[in-house]
Amino acid sequence: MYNILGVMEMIISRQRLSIIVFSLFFSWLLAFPFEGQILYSVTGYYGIDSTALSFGSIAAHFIGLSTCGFFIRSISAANRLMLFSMVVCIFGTSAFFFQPSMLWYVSIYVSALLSGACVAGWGYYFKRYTPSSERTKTAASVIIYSNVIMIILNIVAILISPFWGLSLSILMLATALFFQLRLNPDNEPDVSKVNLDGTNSVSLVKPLAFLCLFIVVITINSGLMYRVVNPAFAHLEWLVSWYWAIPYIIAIFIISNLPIKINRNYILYVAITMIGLSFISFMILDRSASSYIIIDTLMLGACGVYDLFWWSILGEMLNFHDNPARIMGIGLSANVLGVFIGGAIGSFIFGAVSSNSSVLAIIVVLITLMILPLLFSYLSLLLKNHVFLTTLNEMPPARQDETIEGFTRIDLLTERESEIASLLLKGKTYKVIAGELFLSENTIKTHVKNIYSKFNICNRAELIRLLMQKEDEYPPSQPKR
Amino acid sequence: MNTIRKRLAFLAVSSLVCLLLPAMPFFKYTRIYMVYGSSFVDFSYTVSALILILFLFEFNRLSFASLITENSIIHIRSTETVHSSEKKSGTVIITEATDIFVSCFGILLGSRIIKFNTKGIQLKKVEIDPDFINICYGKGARNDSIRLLHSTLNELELMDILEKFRHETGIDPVVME
Repeated sequence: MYNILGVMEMIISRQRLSIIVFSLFFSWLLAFPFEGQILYSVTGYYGIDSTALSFGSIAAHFIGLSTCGFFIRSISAANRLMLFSMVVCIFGTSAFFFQPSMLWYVSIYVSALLSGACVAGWGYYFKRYTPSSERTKTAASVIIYSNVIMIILNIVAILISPFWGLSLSILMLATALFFQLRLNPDNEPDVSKVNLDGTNSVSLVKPLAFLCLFIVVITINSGLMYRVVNPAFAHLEWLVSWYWAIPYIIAIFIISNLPIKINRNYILYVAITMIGLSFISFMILDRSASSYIIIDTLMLGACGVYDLFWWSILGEMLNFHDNPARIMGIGLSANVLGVFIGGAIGSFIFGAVSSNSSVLAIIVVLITLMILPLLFSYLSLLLKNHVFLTTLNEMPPARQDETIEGFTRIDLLTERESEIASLLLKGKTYKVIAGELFLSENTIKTHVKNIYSKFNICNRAELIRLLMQKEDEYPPSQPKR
Repeated sequence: MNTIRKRLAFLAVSSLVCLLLPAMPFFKYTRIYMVYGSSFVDFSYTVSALILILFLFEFNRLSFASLITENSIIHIRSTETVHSSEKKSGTVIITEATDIFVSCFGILLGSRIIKFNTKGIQLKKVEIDPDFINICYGKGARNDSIRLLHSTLNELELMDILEKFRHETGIDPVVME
């Protein structure tokens, strides 16, 4: 027991270290190679076009993210990759202190490729050192800290000098490297027994594919924004340099601290509305500072909601695969792909079609917003079914029934609610339950809402988790309370 | 429930009228438009939006009323009353019949809805005597109650009601002599 406590304490502090490492690394990534302000400032200083650097960097980052999981299969390998990548990225970034040459292109492409692999490799740390219930908060912390640091780096690059910004970004990388060395997993005891999450390797192809599609559709709007909205406010350089990420940070902070009872699905629909309103505002309003604040608040606030939403789903999915680098990599590469596609559409709209570019942008946004609710509802269904499959499919059917009946026949629920909870835990849809019990679907939904309220939970996945916890506390040989 | 439906229809039509009126071709030639111009158009759209919000509230009420009628445990049918006046000869006054539905989610009295077993409001006690049904509900320490006059129940009907209450709400009604 004492050893477990000691190991738990170590895991908690490693969780913080892991957050620090990734926040610092991510801040460099956002400020420099991934359409970063420092990159634009440095290229602007020399008067060269940053398009090839920028798009090439995104493409390389995408390749790094999507392929890492196929080569990195353990936390030790991820650690070595991260250390190597950080060193290479430090040298790669330093190349930009020199005159523009082929070295710039090679440096940034290699750095972007390795940084992508690094981000995917961080999935191992994310899974090992963060319990499932805290993954959303950890993701929120990382996004917030990295964006705050990125804003500081951007301000320095714009107001003082691009090379000062570059120096500070290298300092962030070096600090990340320092803390990564302390995170060396080879020195820690085997914590696999302490890990409370299962490590089942169950086919995640369909849910992951849909999640990726969902992420791509959402982030198309972000990419579009970079190419259509930001250039329109380029004259407000000082305001844009620091304010543009503020609503994003605030939105993530608010969402990550919402009480558990609040249904986050409704918040997603609010975010969809905000995106639509932001583009409409972009069409109607002028290009003043106040207009920028309105448009940016709506747009980046919505982006913050979306990003934390799919990060939380991705974090949950890590439980269902032995190779978290693959899950993280594929999920995040969908994000990059969405930004890339949105950027490409934006470039086409803004560059080739001079008139009515805003109208075309709105059409693209509206199409994505129409698709999103459909994708989301299907994704939710897939994930719910997947949770059910992975937690109950290894039990013999008789034991499944016994477990479910034992769980639902408690004083908290009425007989009707117990009937419905049993069918819910067996993975049946509302429609099927309504058919079996000769009730309307609306009635079933209301009973289910009451059941969740009595257990203080929000969804079927948490009900299954409660069932599993109760099963662990009271295995069949022991009497229930 | 018909009252709620009628109210809903009225709100829908009102909202549509306020929304579409400024778009009508003849509207530009009306006195209102000539006097108030685009201000009236903004006002009309604002009113339409407000009515739409009321519509949504009423729609929610209709949904809940449907939920109650679909899961009815007791249905008390009241009769239409016809009243004729001698003073105003030939005048006939008909009062609308108000059905009462008691379900596991609440009570529907015409257009009035009392909710329980949802949103933290618990059904606490049910007492059935030969003439009345007393239902006690409330949130936390607060208790509200309602007393409904019902028609004579035979033994089978009574057993059915008791079983439904127990099964759906977990409450065992008390039968008073």
